[in-house]
Amino acid sequence: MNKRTEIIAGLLVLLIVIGVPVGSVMAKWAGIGREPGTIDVVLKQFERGGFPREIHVKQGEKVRLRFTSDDVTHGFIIGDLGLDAGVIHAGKFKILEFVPEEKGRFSYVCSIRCSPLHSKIRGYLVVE
Amino acid sequence: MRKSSQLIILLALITAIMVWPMLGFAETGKVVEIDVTARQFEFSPGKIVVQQGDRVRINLNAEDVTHGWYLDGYDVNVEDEPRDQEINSIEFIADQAGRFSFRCSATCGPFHPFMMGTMIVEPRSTLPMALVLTIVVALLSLVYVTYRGRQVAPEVAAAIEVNSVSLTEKWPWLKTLLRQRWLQYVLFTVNTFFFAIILFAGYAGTGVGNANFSIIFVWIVWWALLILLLIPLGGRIWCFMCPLPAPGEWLDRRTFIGKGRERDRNLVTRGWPKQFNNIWLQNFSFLVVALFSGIILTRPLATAIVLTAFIVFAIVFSLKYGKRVFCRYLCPVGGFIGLYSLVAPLELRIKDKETCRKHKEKDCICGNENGYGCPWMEVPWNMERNAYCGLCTECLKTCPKDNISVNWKPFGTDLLVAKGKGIDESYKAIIMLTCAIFYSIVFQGPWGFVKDWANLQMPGFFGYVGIFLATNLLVVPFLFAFAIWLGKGMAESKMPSAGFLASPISNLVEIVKKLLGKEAPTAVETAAAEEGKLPGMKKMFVDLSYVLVPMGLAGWAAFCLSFLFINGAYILNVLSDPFGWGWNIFGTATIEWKPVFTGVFPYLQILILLVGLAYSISLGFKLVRQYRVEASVAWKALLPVAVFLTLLTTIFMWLYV
Repeated sequence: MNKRTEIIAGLLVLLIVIGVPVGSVMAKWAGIGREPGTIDVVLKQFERGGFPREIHVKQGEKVRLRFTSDDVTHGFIIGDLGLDAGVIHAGKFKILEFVPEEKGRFSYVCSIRCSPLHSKIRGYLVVE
Repeated sequence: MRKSSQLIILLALITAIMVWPMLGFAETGKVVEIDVTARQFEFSPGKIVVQQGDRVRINLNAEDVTHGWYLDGYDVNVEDEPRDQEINSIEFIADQAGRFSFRCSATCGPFHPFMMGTMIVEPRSTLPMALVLTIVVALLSLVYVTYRGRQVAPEVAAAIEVNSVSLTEKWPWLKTLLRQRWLQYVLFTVNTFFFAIILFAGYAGTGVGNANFSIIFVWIVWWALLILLLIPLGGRIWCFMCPLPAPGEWLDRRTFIGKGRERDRNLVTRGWPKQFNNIWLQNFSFLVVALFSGIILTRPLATAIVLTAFIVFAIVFSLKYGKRVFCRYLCPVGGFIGLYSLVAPLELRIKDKETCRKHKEKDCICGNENGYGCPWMEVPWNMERNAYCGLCTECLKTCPKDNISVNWKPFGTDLLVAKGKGIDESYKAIIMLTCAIFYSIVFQGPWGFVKDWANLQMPGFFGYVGIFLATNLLVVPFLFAFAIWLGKGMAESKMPSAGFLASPISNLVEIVKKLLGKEAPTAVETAAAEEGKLPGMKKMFVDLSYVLVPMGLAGWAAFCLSFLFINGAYILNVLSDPFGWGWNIFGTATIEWKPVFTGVFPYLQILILLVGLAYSISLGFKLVRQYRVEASVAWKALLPVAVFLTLLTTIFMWLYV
């Protein structure tokens, strides 16, 4: 059998097996389907890891948070700043834009009961 | 054959006319208010009954996390957040009578797609009608087969060959195509591409099953395609293109397309332990996968791990034993595809036995420069059933006598072939049918506690394991054995010894002993009974168990229909955003979840189940007639089996209608 054909056939398989994951990761880094400057925030139930501990943003610069839930419906509110992302459905995306005016650590919580340990969910928006 | 298909069409028409949604309603003016509590993963009440014309008000109260309440057929939806002050309500007029499913519409965890309940709008005509129809169809098919009894030739097998059409002769281009070595490689590669996405999505994508390519493409697209289309028409055609054994095969052969290293067939067959030369390992591997289906079907990561395990096993077995040992003896899917492929009209066979007899080189099993000896370790000139032919087309490539043909024949002819039947396949038929019922109960029923068990909630899961295994391996085999025992007794007007009723237990003991030992399980007594008499019950048990094949396939088809139309929108979603990363490649990622055809598919399920029942009963009659007994004797022997089949159909009707 033609050796060249075999090599091409093998390379094609290799390309698929390596290309799919590598390509996907690169596309993610390249920011496909996401406006530049967007911070992705994945929300989880407390038992499954909860919300991100901290989200870092810069004072006076526009912040664009894109939320999604990895399990059930969550909410996201920062009481001190009067921000509420509304209802965040699992597998769906929600965007919250704002400009932080003052420096500090502002705690955020989940506003929709998401498990028995819902009230334990807590994290901080750090404005630098 | 043609007559029976006419009967099926006639029955289908009657069904369609009789059970089509009852029209006409008058508003009763009554307001029915129902408080529905939603928690993971059930609604309470799980069943709501109202009168046609009622104004229904549903007050939804979510207890643990956010849930929704969507009603099929009415297309109304309400959502409620837990522990909030307000209770969200929806109001509508119940103007269509019938049975409708309501389901959660806000993703609430792994079992979310299966959180559902039933709303019945009376006059509830569908279920009683469906049950009556079930009995009518059962009786009609019994009467029909008895009436036709004298015409049903006992040697059905002989009549079959005349009816089959050789596709490779009819279309020479097809033969040329199937002989190309690159064909399987191209299909492997295309499917490898999809599986690469599936695996990556499982490992790296979102944990939300219905937003993840792996769950949607494996358990909705592939499974439904397999059950509804590929198996009923093409039999093992999936095995031709399945990419899971491809890496192992490539490594073993050391080529991708061309003819590479060939394993000596005898070394492969001798190397494989004798006691596993049957599908018992596949029976057990399927039971294990089915036991954990609550996890595998709902968690992308679990799906990816299971598929990876399949690939690893396939590689290990390819390198250790060679050929398609994994596919033939181990793959849980391959086992039931093989059994259900007996229904399929597509077959690969030799054209002429004499040509094979005269041909001493046997390229089809030894291989030559054009291809490999049968990777499935079949012997083409002895093949009378689809069961273990992987349709890999190697023999089409190797045969120097052009003696291989791909044929199209009437549905289900292989079910009548006596050669090759065995108790391992009987149990496969029983397990698959029982599992279809289990899947329907766990995934499409309103019972939250069963879902909790299947979701590995302890200690309930242990009870579930016990019930599941006992039903599959003891209860259903016992009921079937009882039907055989009763039928034989009735036909011979003398009850046989009741010892046979313990056979499910003795079968299991024997099988476990043989599988653990080094002995090959003994074949079931094959000694032909005296002309015109029924054979022993063990043989009848095996022979007649094939009536469960069409019935089981119908049950699985009904199960597939119940989720395919509901979750179709997710298919479009994950095409655009396979990993749940917020992509929108084709612009379909944000299409809202919306069930379609919810008013129609239950009727389709009724139709499929009734066709399955009628087909199984007429098959049973033909199988009994193969003993060359009088039609009147056959009728009596079949009656309890027909009742057993009718009962099973009733369970499906109760679950789906």
